[in-house]
Amino acid sequence: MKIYNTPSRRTFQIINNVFMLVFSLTILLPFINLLSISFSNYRAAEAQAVSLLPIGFNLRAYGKIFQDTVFLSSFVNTVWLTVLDTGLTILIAVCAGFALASKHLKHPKLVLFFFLVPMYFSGGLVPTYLVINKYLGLANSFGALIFPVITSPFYIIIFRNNIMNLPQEIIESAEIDGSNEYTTLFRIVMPIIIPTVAAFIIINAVTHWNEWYNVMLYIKDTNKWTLQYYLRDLLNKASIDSVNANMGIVNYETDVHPESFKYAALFVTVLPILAVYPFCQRYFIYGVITGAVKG
Amino acid sequence: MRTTAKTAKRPVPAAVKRSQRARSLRLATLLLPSMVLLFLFYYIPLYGLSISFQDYSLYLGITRSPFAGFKYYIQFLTDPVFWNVLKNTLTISFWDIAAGFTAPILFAILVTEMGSRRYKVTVQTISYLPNFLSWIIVSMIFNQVLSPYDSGLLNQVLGVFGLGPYTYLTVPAYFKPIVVIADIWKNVGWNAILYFATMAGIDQSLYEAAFIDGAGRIKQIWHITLPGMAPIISLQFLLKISNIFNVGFDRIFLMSNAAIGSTGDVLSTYIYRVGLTQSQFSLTTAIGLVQSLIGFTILIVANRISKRVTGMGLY
Repeated sequence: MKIYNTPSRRTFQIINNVFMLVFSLTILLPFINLLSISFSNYRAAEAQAVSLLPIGFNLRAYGKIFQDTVFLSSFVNTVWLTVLDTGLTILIAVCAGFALASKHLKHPKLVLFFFLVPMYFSGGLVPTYLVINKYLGLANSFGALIFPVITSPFYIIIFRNNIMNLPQEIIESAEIDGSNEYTTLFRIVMPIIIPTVAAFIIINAVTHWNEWYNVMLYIKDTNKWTLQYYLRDLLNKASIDSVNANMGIVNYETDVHPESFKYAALFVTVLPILAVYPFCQRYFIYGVITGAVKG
Repeated sequence: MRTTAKTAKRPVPAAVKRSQRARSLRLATLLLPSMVLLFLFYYIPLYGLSISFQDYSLYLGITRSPFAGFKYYIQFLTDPVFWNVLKNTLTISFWDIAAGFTAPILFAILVTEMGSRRYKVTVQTISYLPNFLSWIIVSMIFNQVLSPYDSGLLNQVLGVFGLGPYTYLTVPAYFKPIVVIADIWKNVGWNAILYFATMAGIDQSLYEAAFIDGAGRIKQIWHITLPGMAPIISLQFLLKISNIFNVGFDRIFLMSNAAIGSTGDVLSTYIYRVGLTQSQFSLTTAIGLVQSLIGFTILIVANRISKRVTGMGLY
């Protein structure tokens, strides 16, 4: 691409580069600030004196978090729920997508319609809540965090289109060789669509990792919480706690300020995402583009 | 052609019939899990919409609760609180479109104009990060950045210029700008991905030709880049506009606080609060039904218009 290199062009480029720097800092600086608070001592956190560097560096907040039983059970729940929910979502979507793409499917229009309606229309919060909570008896059970969230009509349609766009000779020749639908799907089609599958596994895993809404709606027991809901509880509680803490006797040497505790919990929660996302970028990008041009 | 016509007329042998039946059965088992779950968690609640025409009580259930006609529809349409909530919803939606929808387009263009490739990639990577954070975490970050004391990052920055400290999150008038900005902050990089991809697909020789004809950068963007992105922009706009009644629950619910009061109430949070915490099931189901009907209608109409104007639609 050729561009006239005029003085106004150069001025623009400088302003643009500075703007991008400021924009990036609005994302990075808050993180550094919160991280510093989580490493700071009680006095500094209480005085709200921490800026971009920790004051009185220590790891007590992280030590305290890993002794908190609710935090630990939330962590374990989040890990296994994310793995299970993501695995089931993708498996169910690939199976349904393959069946919808098959030219042997009977009443294809009708079946497709069944999957399209939920994309544009839903019963809304209250009827869904009543069905899950009252009629299916999933209140306060892990079932409420699994069954309602593992079918995505959107993913199903994406996998259907993906499979339909493959050269159909691949599937036909497998059938002529006597392969049944299961083998065709898992041995022939799956290896080809693996880029799409990988992209949606990663995107979906983030969604499940960040899940809290259904916990708020359906779960009562603290031992069934997820990490995000644990954080949400801290978000509500922290301001009250810091008031209470001031009324008690504080040991400035060993105690952890609620703010430090809160941000330590935040970092343990986002760490897996921070560690993974820069390396999965191309999958995300691939997923976004596949999702947008579904046709 | 002739041979296929002949084979079609011949009676189908029993063995073929059997294998066809087996094949249908296998396809059905592949569809079964998703269909059962959709039936339970989408279609039964869809049928549950009928409670908006009933004096629904948990004790009597859907089948035995007395019919109430349009009672609840009239109730919410004549309730000033509802109209206030609707106004909040549409105001936030308007700014989400005016600012939040145009921001990624602008961002994509500006990033493409950056000179250094390495710097460009770094900015892109950083810009995707907030998208992966839940609204709980975003809300925690904003609470800290906008904290009224000297420790809030914004007040620290303003302090350098001798301004502030100010309070932000407890001022009702600031609530809407803050949630709109938070949404841009969270999603601008991610939403720009689609535009980056579209811009990469534009024929580079067009720019060369424009350059030879003496077109400057701004003219090139105006006459080549933007027209090249028009179909994708209009498609995204369609999606956005059909969602004007659905201001996301998470953002509003998690960022508002007691001091904000009723300016922080949108349809989704209102339905949650009145429907679930005050058990007004029929009333809020009525609101939800009208909301999704209007959203669906807008989608259909906007899709027609888009197809006629740009030749591109959602389906």
